[in-house]
Amino acid sequence: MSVDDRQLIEACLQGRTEAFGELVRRYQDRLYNTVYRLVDQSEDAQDVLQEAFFNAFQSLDSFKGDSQFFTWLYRIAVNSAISLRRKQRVALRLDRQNSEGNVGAEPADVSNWSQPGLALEQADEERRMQEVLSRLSPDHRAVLVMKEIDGLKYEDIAEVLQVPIGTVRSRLFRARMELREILEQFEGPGA
Amino acid sequence: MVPDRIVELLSAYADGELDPRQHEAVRQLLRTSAEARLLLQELTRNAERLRSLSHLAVPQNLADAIVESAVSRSCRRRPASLPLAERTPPVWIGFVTAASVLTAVFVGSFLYFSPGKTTGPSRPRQFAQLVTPEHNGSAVEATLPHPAANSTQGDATKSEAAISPPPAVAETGASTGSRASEPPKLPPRAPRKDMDSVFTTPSPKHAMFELVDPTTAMTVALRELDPNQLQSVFRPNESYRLEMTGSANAKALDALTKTFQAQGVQLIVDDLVQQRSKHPKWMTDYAVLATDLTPAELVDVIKRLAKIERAADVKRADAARFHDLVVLPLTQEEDKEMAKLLGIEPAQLTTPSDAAADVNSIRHGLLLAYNPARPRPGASKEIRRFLEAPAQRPPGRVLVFLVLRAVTF
Repeated sequence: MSVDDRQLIEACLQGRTEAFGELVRRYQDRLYNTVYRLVDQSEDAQDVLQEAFFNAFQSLDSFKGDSQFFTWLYRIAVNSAISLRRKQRVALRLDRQNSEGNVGAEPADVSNWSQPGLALEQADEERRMQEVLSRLSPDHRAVLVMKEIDGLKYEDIAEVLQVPIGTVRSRLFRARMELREILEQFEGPGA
Repeated sequence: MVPDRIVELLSAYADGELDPRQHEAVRQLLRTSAEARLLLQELTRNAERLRSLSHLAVPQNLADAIVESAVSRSCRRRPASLPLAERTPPVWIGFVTAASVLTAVFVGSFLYFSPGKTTGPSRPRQFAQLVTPEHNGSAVEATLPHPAANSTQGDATKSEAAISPPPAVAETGASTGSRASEPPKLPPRAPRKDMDSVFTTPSPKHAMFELVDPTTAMTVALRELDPNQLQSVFRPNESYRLEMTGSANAKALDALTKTFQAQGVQLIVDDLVQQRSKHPKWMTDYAVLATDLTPAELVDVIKRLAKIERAADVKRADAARFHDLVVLPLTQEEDKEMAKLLGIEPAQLTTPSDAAADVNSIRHGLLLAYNPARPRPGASKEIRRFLEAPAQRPPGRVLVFLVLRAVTF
């Protein structure tokens, strides 16, 4: 664990909220992206993050410093998101993604989207892939997000999910098969 | 056909996670098998599509909201002298905690059971709907129903329904059993009108919920439908959105069409429905729009669908299934969405007309593909035919917009 993180954690435990704020600002960006891709909605992602940071804040004394603080926090956030997703039922969610390309969250960097046609295509692709992600089972979705979007290695994914590496490998394989099937359903054969 | 165990190896090969022996074996396979090469290309392409998803901007002031919420829910202080690894709580903390919990239980019980209390188990379950600031109080999304809080506050956050809060050491204000205080309110979101505003308009952080009248919002599993549940749900001259999950296959659409036909409503089936229903693997959501039903007829439609669901052979993948139903009042935003779908002005259909219904005219409804493909209003002759039919909304009737969401069973 970095010296900085350790010092901030010490300060948090002394009740210094500015230290906690610094930890939040340091890691919210990476966590928000991951969690959003797991739960679809910006408001849900913010709720999950709020709970994850609060849980971390409450459990700081149990954090032994034997792994990176961010890894520990990431694990809490991802598992919270998976739990939320398991509880949600498709039937009770109205379609928020309207035909105007609103994917529910803004991209951080729009400098490459200088051509309107390209921007619309990209927005359409974003919406489609997010919809595809939402159709995956929570466990499959989690491993795909961690591997493809966050670039984690198998052993890191195994640590986050607390499963063996062999389970990660087979789960990724099944997730990719499910992804392939859903893409075929969405876009027809040969897409 | 490449066996699953080989595909799993290809998947791990694409990730660079094979040992040298397996890696070499896969390379040999790829040299000799065109099918394996194609499959690997497809896996790689799909992975690339996911990796190309843009990095999202964190909503403004999220960090401040998180800190404020965490601090207001729990306050922790630790002695500065002890290092991180050596801290243990003093024994007296346990006694104080136990005393606080007992006091909270005592006070809570006293307030709960004291005479004249209006809250309690007899209070009916209420449903919350998400309200975003720009919709001026109209609901845009249904959430899981939650029991009414015992506190006098009427609103709750979605996170409380979906994520269990961590155990608190000593929660303030626990005497009435209230949850964490509501998150800070944020400035309303500017309406999005074009692509530029998508990238510059900040997201709303936490939308507020408002409670809706429980007689106009309900959730039911059709297989267990009690007809008495539908009494007094639908009122004349009102508009409703029905969200239903089901098999959404050809048999389900046929059953839906016949159910409406039994009420004297002929569904005009858009051409895109006919195309997509031929491909059961293309998961498609469909929508029915009917403007000319009486409340009793709508109740009968639901009862018939429930009957079909109870009689369905659950082992058959192609059976017509209708699983869950959510009934909600149609909101302004949904009215706009529906109008856009049909290429008309909002409220053109939802406003009841003064003209009495012509009992001799054929009543029409519309069956459309809804997601991921929708018909273009100008190009659909079925939509035009529906809009040209007379007496779209006679007085005393209900408008129903039923969305059938495809799920696998």
